[in-house]
Amino acid sequence: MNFKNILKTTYFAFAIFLISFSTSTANDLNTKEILKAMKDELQREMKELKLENLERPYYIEYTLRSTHANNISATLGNIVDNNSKLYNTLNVGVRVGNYEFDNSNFFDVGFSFFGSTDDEENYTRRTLPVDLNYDVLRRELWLATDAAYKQSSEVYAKKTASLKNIIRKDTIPDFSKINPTVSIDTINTPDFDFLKFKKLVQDLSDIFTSFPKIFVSKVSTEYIPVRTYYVNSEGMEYVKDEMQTGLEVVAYTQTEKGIPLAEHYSVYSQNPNNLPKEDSLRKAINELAVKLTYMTKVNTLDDSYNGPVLFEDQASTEIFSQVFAPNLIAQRQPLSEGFSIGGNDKSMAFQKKIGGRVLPEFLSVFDVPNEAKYKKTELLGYYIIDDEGLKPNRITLVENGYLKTLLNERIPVKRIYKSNAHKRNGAAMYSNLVVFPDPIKTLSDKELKEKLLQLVNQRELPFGIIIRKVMNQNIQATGLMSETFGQSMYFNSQKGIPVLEAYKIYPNGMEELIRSVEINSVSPQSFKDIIYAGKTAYVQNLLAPAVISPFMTGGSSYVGASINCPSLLFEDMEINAIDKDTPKPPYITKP
Amino acid sequence: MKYIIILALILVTLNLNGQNLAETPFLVKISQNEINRVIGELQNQQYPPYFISYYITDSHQARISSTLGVISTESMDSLRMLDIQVRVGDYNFDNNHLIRGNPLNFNSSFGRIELPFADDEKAIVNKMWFATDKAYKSATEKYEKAITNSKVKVQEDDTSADFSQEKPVKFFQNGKLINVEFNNFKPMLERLSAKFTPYKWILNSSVSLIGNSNRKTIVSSEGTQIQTYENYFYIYVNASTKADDGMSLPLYRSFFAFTPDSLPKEEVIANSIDEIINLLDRLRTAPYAETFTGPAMLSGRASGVFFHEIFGHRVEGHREKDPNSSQTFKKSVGEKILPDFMSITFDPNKRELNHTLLAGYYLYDDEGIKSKTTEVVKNGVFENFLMSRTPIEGFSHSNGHGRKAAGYSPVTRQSNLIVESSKTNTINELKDKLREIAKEQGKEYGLFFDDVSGGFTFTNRSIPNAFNVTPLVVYKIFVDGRPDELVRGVDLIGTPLTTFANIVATGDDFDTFNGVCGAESGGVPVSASSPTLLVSRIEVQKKLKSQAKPPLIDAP
Repeated sequence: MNFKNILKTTYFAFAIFLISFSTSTANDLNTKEILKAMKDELQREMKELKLENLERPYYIEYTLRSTHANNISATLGNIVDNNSKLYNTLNVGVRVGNYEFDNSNFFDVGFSFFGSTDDEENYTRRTLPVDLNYDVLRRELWLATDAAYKQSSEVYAKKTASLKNIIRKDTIPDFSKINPTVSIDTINTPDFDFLKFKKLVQDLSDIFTSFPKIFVSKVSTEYIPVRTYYVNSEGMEYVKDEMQTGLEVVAYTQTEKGIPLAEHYSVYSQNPNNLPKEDSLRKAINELAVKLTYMTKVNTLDDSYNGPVLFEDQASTEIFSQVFAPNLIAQRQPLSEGFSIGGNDKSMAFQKKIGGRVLPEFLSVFDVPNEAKYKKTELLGYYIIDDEGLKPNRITLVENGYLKTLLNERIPVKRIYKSNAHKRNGAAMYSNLVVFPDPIKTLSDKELKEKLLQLVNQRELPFGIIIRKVMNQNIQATGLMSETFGQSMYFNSQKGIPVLEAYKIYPNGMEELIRSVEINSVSPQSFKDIIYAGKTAYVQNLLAPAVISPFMTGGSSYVGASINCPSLLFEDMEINAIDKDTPKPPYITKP
Repeated sequence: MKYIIILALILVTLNLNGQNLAETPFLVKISQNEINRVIGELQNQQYPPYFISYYITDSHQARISSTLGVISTESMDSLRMLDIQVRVGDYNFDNNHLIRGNPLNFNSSFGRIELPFADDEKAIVNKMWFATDKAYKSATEKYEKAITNSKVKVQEDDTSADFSQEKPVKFFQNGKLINVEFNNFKPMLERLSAKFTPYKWILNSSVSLIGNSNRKTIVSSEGTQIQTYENYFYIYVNASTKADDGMSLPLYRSFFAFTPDSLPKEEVIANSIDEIINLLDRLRTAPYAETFTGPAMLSGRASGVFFHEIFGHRVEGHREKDPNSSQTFKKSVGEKILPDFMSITFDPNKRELNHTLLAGYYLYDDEGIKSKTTEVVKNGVFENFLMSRTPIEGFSHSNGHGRKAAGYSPVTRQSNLIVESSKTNTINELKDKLREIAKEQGKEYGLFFDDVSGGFTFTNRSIPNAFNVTPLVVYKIFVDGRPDELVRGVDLIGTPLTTFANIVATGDDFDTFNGVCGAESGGVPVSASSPTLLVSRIEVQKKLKSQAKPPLIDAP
């Protein structure tokens, strides 16, 4: 680094430091003042808000989120991006009608896709000033509530009208009742040590300098503390602090024939100080770079593989989170004008399955939002109260293979009338999922491999397959996509889940790394074909894509969660070489 | 000879700017090395590139807004972005040749490429390499498509080359990126925005400071090496209310400067806020204007925008090449298109006019061409198109109007539009003339467009070539001499040639509209200056009106 370079670096650091310093005062919003403004305006609106000849709202809720997003990214030892942004957003919910029947659970095509054409005030994700005071906040609430009430009244009328012509099968109430509580749950969220993290990200990204075969790479980190203020007209009231920290690494290259290869590594925690130590991060990134370099020389599958597959480590947590877990969220199919829309069709497999068998009888699944740690690992899905102010408990979702319930919020669905306190970032979502095997059916890693080879032998296959790492959809769509100018589109497939690390295992126990394969035709039902599970539990924190579209809920597109899952041996699965056109290798030599 | 010209250019710019760096800047050096390496390596390919350029924007973008006395947003972004141009074929026919008849024929550009901030060669060059390879691949693909396209389609009307040959330029401006000291401005913005607080019927209001400090580095395989600084600072005042019939009534004021220090004093902005409040109060109870055709006066700012839309966009040279473009003035060179007393010049070399700074000022355009003062209309006669390095029939060289925002490919764009008149009238004389014309036409009144927020136009043949100028403040001027009446709810519309034919007279005043113009190469800062204009017949249509009621209950 020359002198000029140093000057420049410190200069940027200084600029950022100033900003975070000056905004940190804004972050310490006066909690009492804010809550008072929210309650005062809510009371006034409940009393006075009324359109001629139309019903008053029976319920109003205000959610104010104060977010401080910090991002840093670097490539080959150099910072490419660093940002520190503070923003406040407001969501106003107004319900017209009553708990049995109101304006909700109705999909208005025009409003939902295009919004009102009448430049009305915004009431979902409304941006508020960063420096709030009592008067300014009341004005904002006033304008937003006005718009929310007008639109709710209109939707309520539409819903009522559309029911005059159809016989409705869904007679479940629209909204469940709760006992209001008041909880002020503020903590001192740690400050982000920008200088320390800048250096960390810079140093980690510099590791790739020693790997000339890797075309592009990026190391990024983010820390996002959020304080949420909530009041509703039932008397529920809370303030809570949450935070999320992540470090993501992506790398990309092509073989001599042009076949794209990618790798990623990610770690998440709530507290920025609880990320793994630099040494272990270095080790992990170094291993990743070595593996990706090596991968340019290995082969893929010649033929389609149909047979037993063993998922280990990140692969078992990832396949569980991508294929099985999204189905554990209750989804109320909204009534709509004309055509049916809403809900996530991909994740509807278990909506009518309560009581039925969804896994082999030796597997159970729990959701444990109230557990902060598993052994030494901090769990990203941990929370004390959900978005609606309710305290969550451990939920048994699947008991000995049978589905017991689904995760939900205050929107009742068939057979689940009460909320089990899982509304986060706009909609119901899983938190910390634990896949728990009956110890009798668990095997050690060695035994699992032996079982796999036994099955291979029985089916007269030349080899079996072990998968240790699967592409994370979120990292692919964000980090990899932008870093490769879309070349990583190669890994996108409607039918398959791309694998990052798979091995052929031969009858003599020898393992051979293979590249460019994907898992095909895997469905939630495939999990019934799991025949054994491992003794070791793997815990993976991840940013899980929201199951109920943020487009419908006004929430965020991913939610911090964790999956605790043992190795899983599937009796039968289809693995294929990714069979897509590939970009040509570069014409210009890498400098 | 070449040397002399380059030297002359430098001398000129030295005069203008007085600063030129002797040492080749780091980014220029590494860009030139990489371009040379790439060109060398690709010589053996089927289609070797004949031109490559790197365009790096170092940008500091600051924004602070305040509403009702509190800070509402505060952000500061630093970016370093790379845009790459790769051309294969030759100057006459290359991959940028217009492909005709394809509905998905976008200007090739794949978004912005972020580079590391620090001057670290290995990290920057690695990004350059990966992106250049991709750009080269898409260039060859497009080149082959263009060759076939030109064979299957009819002979082109315009057979000019695809890229003009220009002398390379070396110029390194001595300067630095400017940071906005937020703390210097916060108290002022808070005080100013608090002026709206007592007026509860003003639904939204804000006072913002936006700063953009850019360093542009342009390096090409032809040998052009340029580094310049372009800084833009704005203060925007926004406020809006709603009339009882639902109509949204926004008003804006903006103040422009090249440095934060030269932005106007607090009192100046405060006065303009008082004016806005007063005007908004009158607007919400002002009568609703009806559709109308008849005479109108356009203030300097309004007619600046009017000329920018109806004229400026139609003299952007590259549009004349596109057979789908309306080519309004293609055959007008040497013809009379405006009254004798009017001239129009685009002058990117002018930094200020009548003590008003001009946002369309720059030293070199985004293709590395020295900005040139371009007389487009002289004494009513059309003389010139604005040109980038895309030649058109009869105009084979650039006049320094190839412009773009980071992440886009450059096309011809406007700079500082200046309307001049040799026959002027006082405003009162103009008003009298307006009344006279209205009387002749049997109208009760004419219209006066005092302020506008902007406008838009269509230049494509598939849509009627209309323009729309969006007025904020409009008065009726009555034939019988009654006091002028503020009205609301209309947009000024028309078609260019008809409207041009109706220009009658100009005022002895002069005003400037500074703004950002958006088109296919992104948002670029421009200005438009003009005297007040009298037009014998214009048309207004009803403005799109919100159907939402004003808030149901009073402000808290």
